[in-house]
Amino acid sequence: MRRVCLFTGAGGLLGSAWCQTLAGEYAIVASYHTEPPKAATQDSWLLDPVAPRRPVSESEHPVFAVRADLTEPSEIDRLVELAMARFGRVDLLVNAAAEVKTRAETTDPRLIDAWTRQLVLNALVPVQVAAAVAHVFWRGDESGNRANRRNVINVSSTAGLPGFVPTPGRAVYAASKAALNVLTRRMAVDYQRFGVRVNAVAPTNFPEVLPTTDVIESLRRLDSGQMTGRVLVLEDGQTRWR
Amino acid sequence: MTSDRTTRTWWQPQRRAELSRLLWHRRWWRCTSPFPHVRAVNVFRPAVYTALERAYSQWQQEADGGSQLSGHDLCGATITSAWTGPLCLFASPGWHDLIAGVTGVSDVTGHINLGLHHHEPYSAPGFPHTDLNPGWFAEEPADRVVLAEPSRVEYTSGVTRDSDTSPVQVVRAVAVLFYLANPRWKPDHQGQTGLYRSARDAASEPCAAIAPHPNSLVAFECTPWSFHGFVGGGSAPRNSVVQWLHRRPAAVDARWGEGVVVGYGEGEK
Repeated sequence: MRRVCLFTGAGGLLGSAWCQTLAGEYAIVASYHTEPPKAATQDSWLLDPVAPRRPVSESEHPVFAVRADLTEPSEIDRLVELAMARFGRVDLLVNAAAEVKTRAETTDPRLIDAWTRQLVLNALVPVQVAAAVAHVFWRGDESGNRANRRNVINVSSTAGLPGFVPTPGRAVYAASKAALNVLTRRMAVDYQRFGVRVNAVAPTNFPEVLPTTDVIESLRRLDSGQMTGRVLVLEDGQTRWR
Repeated sequence: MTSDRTTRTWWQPQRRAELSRLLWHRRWWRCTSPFPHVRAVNVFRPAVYTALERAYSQWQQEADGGSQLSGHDLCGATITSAWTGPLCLFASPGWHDLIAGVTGVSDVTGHINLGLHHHEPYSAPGFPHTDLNPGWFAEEPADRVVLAEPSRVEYTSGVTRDSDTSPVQVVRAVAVLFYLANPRWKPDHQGQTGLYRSARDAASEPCAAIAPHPNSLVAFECTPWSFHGFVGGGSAPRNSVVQWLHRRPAAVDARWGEGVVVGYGEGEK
């Protein structure tokens, strides 16, 4: 039986790669805001134009794509309700939704809305999505959680680590990822009570420096492991725990 | 690129399978929202695409941009049987059958209306419409496909240019837009094809927007709800090959009832 994975930010590079490579291994609920993942979904699938009726392997396991603006709390509730209605459980939550490209200079007070949105989406939304899953499912199934190694993986960044060389205009982004690292460790304590693990991956820039497949492999490693409350740092050619 | 037959060129594939050597990316997207459509990027192999782009650019130079199309802020031309060259690929039986196949439309007649469109930068937006319109041709296909011939029959009205012609009326069944000779798309270029849920939607707020990437296409069955339109131009021009396949009026009546076919100019806001 495929593990059920709820993946937020699935329209991004990492989410599309996850859906393309692992839809056969996981039943995936792919949450996206604007662009759906570049993978077969319940709404779109691939065909060979020369033989359009012949099934193609890439469309064998369509992901369940849900459009949602996760900065709206009611949208988080709707997403989790849909995931439960479709698959009846969540074994793995990957919080990858993030505002990455916004450059919000901290010297310009007019950008407060941009700072706020980035902090909310990058640091608080992962907590809210996990809490929603815990509320409707995990808190009532401790033995099932342990038996099925249910867990949360927050997708952080090396930008949020101490000692990272800062780049201009990225202060709020770095702060959001630093907050996410702290939240990950503290969430692990809270979620341990009902048998759910919480970890994070903190990759450097991908795919520019790090192959996206390395990030994918790290997510799988965290999902199949026993660790909790850890941040797995991924830099070029190096993997270490924080 | 040369023909594998002594009398045929590469742009005249007779069967769908013959397109295999011309197509590049063999995975096209079949999408359902907001209505069924097909999207594809990197459609033709680079050498084929270059030949198509060159032919389009040559038309632009020779025709000085084509003539203004009534009701739309764009210029264009109709490709007829008098045309020769790579753009005739879109008038081939093989391409006709491939498009019918990917859109899942089986009752096509072989009548093809084929044209070239050019939107200047900052062109005015269009309006959501279905393309479920009638079309008139000078004759039935003698050899599987036949092109519209405006010099004999006006496509949008059926008015004939000579007394010997008995126009054949059909209805648009499939619409195709193939984008070419455009710069690599960026958001400020705009010029997307918008897909809408209803005729009441604002042109600038589509449910889905198809960017006019070079060597890409969108195709869909013309139905009472295939609302689409030009979202408006940006900083770059938008160029495309446009094409419609057709079916019999009786087939439309049988499927959706009488009165669903929309006359030209109807439904504009």
